[in-house]
Amino acid sequence: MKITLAQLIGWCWIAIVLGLYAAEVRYRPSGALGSLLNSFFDSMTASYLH
Amino acid sequence: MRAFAHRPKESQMVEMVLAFLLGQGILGSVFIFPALAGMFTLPALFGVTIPLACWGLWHLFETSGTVRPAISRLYREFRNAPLAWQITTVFVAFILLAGGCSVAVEITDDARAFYLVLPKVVAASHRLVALPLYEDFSLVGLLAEMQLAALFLLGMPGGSARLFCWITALAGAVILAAISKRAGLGRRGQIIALSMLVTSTAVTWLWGTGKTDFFAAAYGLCAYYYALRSWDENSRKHAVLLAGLFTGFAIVAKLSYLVPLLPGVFILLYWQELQNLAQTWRSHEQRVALLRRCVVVAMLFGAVAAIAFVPQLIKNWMLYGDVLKTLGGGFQWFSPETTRRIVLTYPLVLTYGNYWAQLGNISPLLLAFLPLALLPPYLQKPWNGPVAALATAALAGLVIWVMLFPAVPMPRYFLATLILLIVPASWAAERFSLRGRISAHVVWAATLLILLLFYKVYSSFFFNWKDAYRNVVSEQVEGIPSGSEVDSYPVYRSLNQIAEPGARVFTLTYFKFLLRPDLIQCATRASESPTPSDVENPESFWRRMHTQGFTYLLVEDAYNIVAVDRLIKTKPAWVTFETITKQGTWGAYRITYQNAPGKILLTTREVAPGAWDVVPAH
Repeated sequence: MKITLAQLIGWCWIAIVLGLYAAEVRYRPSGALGSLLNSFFDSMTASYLH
Repeated sequence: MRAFAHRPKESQMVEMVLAFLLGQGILGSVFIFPALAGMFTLPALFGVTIPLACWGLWHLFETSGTVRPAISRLYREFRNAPLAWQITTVFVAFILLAGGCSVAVEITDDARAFYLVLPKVVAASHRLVALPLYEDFSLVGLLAEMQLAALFLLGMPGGSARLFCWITALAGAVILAAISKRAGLGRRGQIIALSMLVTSTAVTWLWGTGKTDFFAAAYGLCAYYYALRSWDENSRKHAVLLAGLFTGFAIVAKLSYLVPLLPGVFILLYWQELQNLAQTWRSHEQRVALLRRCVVVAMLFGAVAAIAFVPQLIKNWMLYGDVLKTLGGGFQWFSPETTRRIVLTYPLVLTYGNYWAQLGNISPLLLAFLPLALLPPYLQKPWNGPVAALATAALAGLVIWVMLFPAVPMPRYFLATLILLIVPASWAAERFSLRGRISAHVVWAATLLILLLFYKVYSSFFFNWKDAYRNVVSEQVEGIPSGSEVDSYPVYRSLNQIAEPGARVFTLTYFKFLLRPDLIQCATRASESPTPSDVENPESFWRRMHTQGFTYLLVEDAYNIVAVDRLIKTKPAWVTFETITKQGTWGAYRITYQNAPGKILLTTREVAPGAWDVVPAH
């Protein structure tokens, strides 16, 4: 079976998006990756007039 | 629909759903007139709805023979699908149906303040007047609210009115599937599209929380559908008319749709003209003919869309004496720095954003699948098919929205446009899944994974079966209190039991849905709201309370315009307080005045059965 670069890119992109979603709603890892994800999600939140 | 006999036709099920949504728009508009006349009563409601319902049922009976073959065909297709897609299909159907349970979720703040309060008061008072405290805001289009008022008038509980929002969402799902089918997507693509829809919390939030935004989204999807179907010259005229009518209903239901919906609909309406623009522009005659065709379409579209606005404009003229009255203020909800960050993080912000008042996100499947369209093998030119048209319409609407309202990443303001984006994303996913066995597995596994994760994460919130059953069978008229309502419910109930008919309740809270309708009508008006200076001068505040005839106080500590505790502690000696109920942050009090200075200037009067006015005392 021939796997193309386009397919690989597609699979990786899907995995990244879904992984981020899983981390956001339920499964946040600990350690450095967890801190990185916290920074990412914190950058997408703000309260009223902030 | 029979008035548009030459419209493009679809399967009977889709036709029924389109007729259902068109009927909603028409009924929501018609109901305004008896309500403005103070005659929104059961006989008036039955007089309007029963003949139309009989007509609809007769039409259903005529087409009932097509239901069984349609179900058989769907079942055959289901049987022939791979097991993985059968499982996904069953799960999507399950979530769509389980969405009915969302009638048991906590009612959103906006609905407890306005969107469910106004229908409740209209039903109880049989008239439409500006809602106290929301005198200006009542100028908004009330298409959905009038339908909910009809449900309240029929004696259906708060749970049922919210259930109607979910039924409208189901209708929207059918229209999305129909657009997907017309765009050339197979069953697999349609299932992916529905999966994206049900795993978008921006959509599921609107199933049962009492907010009425999905009505606009459903009408907007119908507008996109007919604009897409307007390409056939034989049915173009009626397709344009229906696209115009649904666009009008969508904008009336949610004024913000003017920005993203209208450009998208016009791109679809003129798609074929845009393809031939380069050729026709060379010849003067062809140029004139093209312009004439475009102007005719725009005039037909505009004339029909304007009809949808007429009842709302009449309402504003009667309530405010100003047909074109608008709300002041803007959408500057965030600092310039945050706004810049919001714009720079599009489209991630739609999936992962958690901004103030964002109220839900778009499915991660949309973000995961849409870029797959950019991967090879590339489509051969010309890119002028329906998917390209839909993608252009949706992206243009989105870009215009971001340009004009960069600080508003709230999906509900442009939901129909975002839902339309699901179609090209599903098309890309379906195409990707046909590139090999592993890709097929990746697409269905991703879809099923998100469906399962969504159900697991939100099951306790959206899918509370037990409370939903209790809500629908009406164990409590306003529905089972949930979340923050748990504390406030006994406070409202005690006040409702004790307060005399037409008593004036000073409300230090925005939320009045659970108050008795007569108390809501006589409660604090915007002009009577407390100000920060009241804290500095409590004597003046209490004097005003007395002269305006307030004898009850409903307090929510989180309401932060005035410091409630300080006002209570610094009350003058001639004011006496009696606690009726206090629970959590909520409290209800009876106020009595002994030897108060000044006279009572305002009192209340029942001007018609159930309708209360605040009037001068003398």
